[in-house]
Amino acid sequence: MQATTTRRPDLTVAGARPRLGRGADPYLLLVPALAVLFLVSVYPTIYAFYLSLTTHVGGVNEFVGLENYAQMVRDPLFWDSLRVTATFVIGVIAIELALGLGLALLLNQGLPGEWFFRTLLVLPMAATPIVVALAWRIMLNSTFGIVNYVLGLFGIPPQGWLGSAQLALPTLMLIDAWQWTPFVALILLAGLQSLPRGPLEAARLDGATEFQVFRHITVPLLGRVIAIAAVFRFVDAVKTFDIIYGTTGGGPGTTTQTTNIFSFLTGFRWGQLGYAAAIAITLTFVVSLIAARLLSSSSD
Amino acid sequence: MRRNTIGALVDELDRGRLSRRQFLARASLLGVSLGAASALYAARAGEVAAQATPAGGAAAAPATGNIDWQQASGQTLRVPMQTHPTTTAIMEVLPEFEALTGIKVQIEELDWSVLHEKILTDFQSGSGTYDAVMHGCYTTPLYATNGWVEDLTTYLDDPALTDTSWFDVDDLFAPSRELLTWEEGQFGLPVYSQSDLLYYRTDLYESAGLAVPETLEEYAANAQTLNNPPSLYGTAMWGSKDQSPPIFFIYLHAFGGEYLDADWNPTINNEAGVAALTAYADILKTAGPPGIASWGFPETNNAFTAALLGHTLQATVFAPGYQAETAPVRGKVGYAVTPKGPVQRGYSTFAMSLAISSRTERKTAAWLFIQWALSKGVCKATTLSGDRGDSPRASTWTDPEVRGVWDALGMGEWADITLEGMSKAVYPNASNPVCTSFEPRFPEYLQTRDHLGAAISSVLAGSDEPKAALDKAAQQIRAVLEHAGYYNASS
Amino acid sequence: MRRGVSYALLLVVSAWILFPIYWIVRASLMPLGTSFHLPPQLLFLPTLANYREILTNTDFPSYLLNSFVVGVTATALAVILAVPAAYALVRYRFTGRRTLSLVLLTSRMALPVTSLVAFFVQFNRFGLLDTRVGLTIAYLSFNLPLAIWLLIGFIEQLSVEIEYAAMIDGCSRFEAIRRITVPLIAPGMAVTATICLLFSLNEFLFAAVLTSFNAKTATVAVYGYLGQDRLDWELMTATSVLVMLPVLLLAFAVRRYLVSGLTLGALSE
Repeated sequence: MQATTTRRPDLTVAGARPRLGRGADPYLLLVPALAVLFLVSVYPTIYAFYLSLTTHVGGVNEFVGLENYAQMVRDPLFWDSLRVTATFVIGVIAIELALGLGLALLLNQGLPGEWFFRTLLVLPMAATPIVVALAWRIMLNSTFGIVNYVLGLFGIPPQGWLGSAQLALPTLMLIDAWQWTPFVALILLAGLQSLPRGPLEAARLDGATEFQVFRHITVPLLGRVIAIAAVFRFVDAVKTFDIIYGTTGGGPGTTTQTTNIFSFLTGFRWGQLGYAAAIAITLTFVVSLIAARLLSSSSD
Repeated sequence: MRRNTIGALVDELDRGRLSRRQFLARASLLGVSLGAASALYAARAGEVAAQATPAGGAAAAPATGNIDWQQASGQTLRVPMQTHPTTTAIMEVLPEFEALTGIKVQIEELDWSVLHEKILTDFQSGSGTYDAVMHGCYTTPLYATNGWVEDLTTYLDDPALTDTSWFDVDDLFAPSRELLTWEEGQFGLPVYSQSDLLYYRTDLYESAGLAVPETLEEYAANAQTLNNPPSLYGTAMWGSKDQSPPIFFIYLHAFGGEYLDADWNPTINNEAGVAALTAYADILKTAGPPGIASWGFPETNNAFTAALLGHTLQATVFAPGYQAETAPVRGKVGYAVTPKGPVQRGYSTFAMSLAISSRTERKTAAWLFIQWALSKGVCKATTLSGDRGDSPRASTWTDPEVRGVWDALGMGEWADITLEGMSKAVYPNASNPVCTSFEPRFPEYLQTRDHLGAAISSVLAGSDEPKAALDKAAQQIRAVLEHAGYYNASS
Repeated sequence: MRRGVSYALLLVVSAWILFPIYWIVRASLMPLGTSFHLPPQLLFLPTLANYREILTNTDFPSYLLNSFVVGVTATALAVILAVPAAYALVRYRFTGRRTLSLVLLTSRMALPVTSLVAFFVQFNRFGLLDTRVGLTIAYLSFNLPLAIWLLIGFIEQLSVEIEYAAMIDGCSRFEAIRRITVPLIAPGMAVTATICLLFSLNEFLFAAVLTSFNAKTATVAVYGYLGQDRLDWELMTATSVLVMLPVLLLAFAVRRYLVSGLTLGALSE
């Protein structure tokens, strides 16, 4: 990770480039990918939208207009799931940004052997999510789990991590933080290393403390990179499935039933594909709006 | 083609392909007694000098019914089954079926929840990936109403397909079969049957001077006495949202509660229902392990096996596992009928079904598989070899050889209680036409049950009071039933 | 002093990162039924019995094979399709470009259930359920946009001058791409492919819903070890190790690019 350039993930601002050609060329180059993209991405979305306007009755899809959406708005479970999703997403972004920033600062001091720790950070983010879920489920089991055993050595009574209304969602956030804090840290580290030296040194020469430098110079300069990290964590956290499905399945009660899990259960456990599609499409729409908003504000 | 004879089996054993369990099960299926098979195994495996000969066992003819078993030869069946000792045991003897019929069977082992999700998706899409399915009795109404599974009556009545006297369908527990009917049709047959009973630690009961509880109140009191965390918890029962309802139903009935009234109105949140959930949550929250709200079968079972629980109300099927050689509780388990509640005893019954998908073109092969897997011979052989204690056949339970094995393990009482529980029609309140069995039977039941499960689990997790949680669940159940049109006709 | 504190903190972080992985590996090397005994045995005789059991007595090897066949195919197709597309997006201005980038971006946002319901119903119609072909198509839905994004980053780093030079020498546009651009971005293609493969091997939800027997993948098989009456932790962890080992090796190989892969090149290195 040497020289780092940051670039907007928006293609339309890729900058002025010499025009190498015009006419049909770009379309010819794009046709194969576009065709496949239509097949695997656009068409399924359109089809899901169609499904969301139907209900499955005795083997046939019956067109019901916006009935599924109306049902959704009335469904307390849907609103409950939105609340869980929001709590989870905001929670993990906050935890991971805080821990990630600390970790990035630790690794930005030029300590000998830093490369080793940076390499280590790759492990969690590449680890198979469903395996991560099962591993934590084993470690957090309230009677056999190593976590409660170790806490017991310090006199802390066993906790029901995944089975307590208060702890289940925070526990899932912690598992998510295990997997994704390194990702945030590496993004921020890249940002730190590309900071211009000038303002930092000037501030130090003016007698600012390290904390003042960090608070008033580093963080503002890092703003865009922090926003990028937040946006991608936002998008992925909303979609979190494996970790929740493999540990709590949305329980206890509905305390960890995010909208993503709720739409899955609706479609594939309770058999209401149309309703599930309506929920998923609504959330996709909301997520895209928020993400686009965040992205455009972060690039100012 | 490989013939299924004891000689071929011994060849396979000699080539090192079989475990002891597999060998015993398949030998038993070929009519060899357990004693002879064990001796044979010991001889062949070189544990003892070769003195037993196959002759003693091989004399008995393989019992396979008088039909053309080869009529669907060459086909391959795809069957999703629950990850369960019974599935394991059936898989171990499958080579015998393949040799007998020329039909190959692919079994997909799936976790409890996933099993339903996958079958439902397959049925709903009409994809016909599955030929036969194993599923819980509470989904029979759903599958039958939609025409997703076959009425097995025609198969049972066809002499080309079924050797009636050999198969002896009446030997399968009637209450279990009853759970798999829907509107006059038999939409599945039980592959295993269970009810629930009290398991307690004899050693702990003795040292604490406790008497076997007669009532749920005493059951709770004993749990409090034994509770000594973290090395021992008084009890644990299912608390996770997809698995908690069955044991809770025992409480519900014991307190005189009902799921629905005769007009389909949810009644779980009435006084009896709230009292039942309060009692269920109290014992688990004061004498149960932390995190009980996420515990299902595996956790509860692991904890009892590992000697971490004083007693538990559990499905009858788990008993053999507690007597496994590696189980720390081996030899320390006592059995008793489910304690009574203030109103009555909350008996329970449950069956897992094998059914034929309506979409498949391999219905004959699927039926042959079901007929074979549920036959007296297979039920007995898999019971003798495996960890299963859930044969759906009365004959297995009264078989002297099987009974001998269980008596030797001190499981005689368990066998008596289970046999009694499974042979009688167990639901006491048959006056309500909506709730005529332990769990009510209607197509939308599973979804409503999940709402109840979420309520139970949230109370155990401490996020809700029983009354509030059940009110919420009742409302959600009503919404499901309303959506399905249950209230249209009456209003 | 300050350095000491930094190292101490880094050690804590390392332990936190490594412990779950260590715990899985440890359980996979223990005799059946012993991994959850407490207090934990610090010294035990490691055994490969669990691995032997899985590899010889179960269908796990064929599930692992499915994972790889589907992953490699979906990856190869994605990269082959993505190269010309990414090239066009970098080197041309054209109508519809903005829409296309929007589609690419949205595909990253979409809730998996959206495409899952559609795949499920359509695959069923065309007999693609439980086939490697079907799962490959499903995996293309996330691999193709990802590959395009990543390759855009690599192509942008190339100077156009060399393509000009080739074209002045009489090469056609497409020839210039084939003979100049592709060889130059070959390392980038390798990185892209590795990241796509990694995500494919880790995928669980699509595989869980869209496959049963023939195309079942290793991640689904791992989850299958949750049983009715037991948690075969030792076997489950051994399968987990076998699933994760190749993934972690791949990740190690492209560790410098993983972050940019996950951020669609918003942060390239």
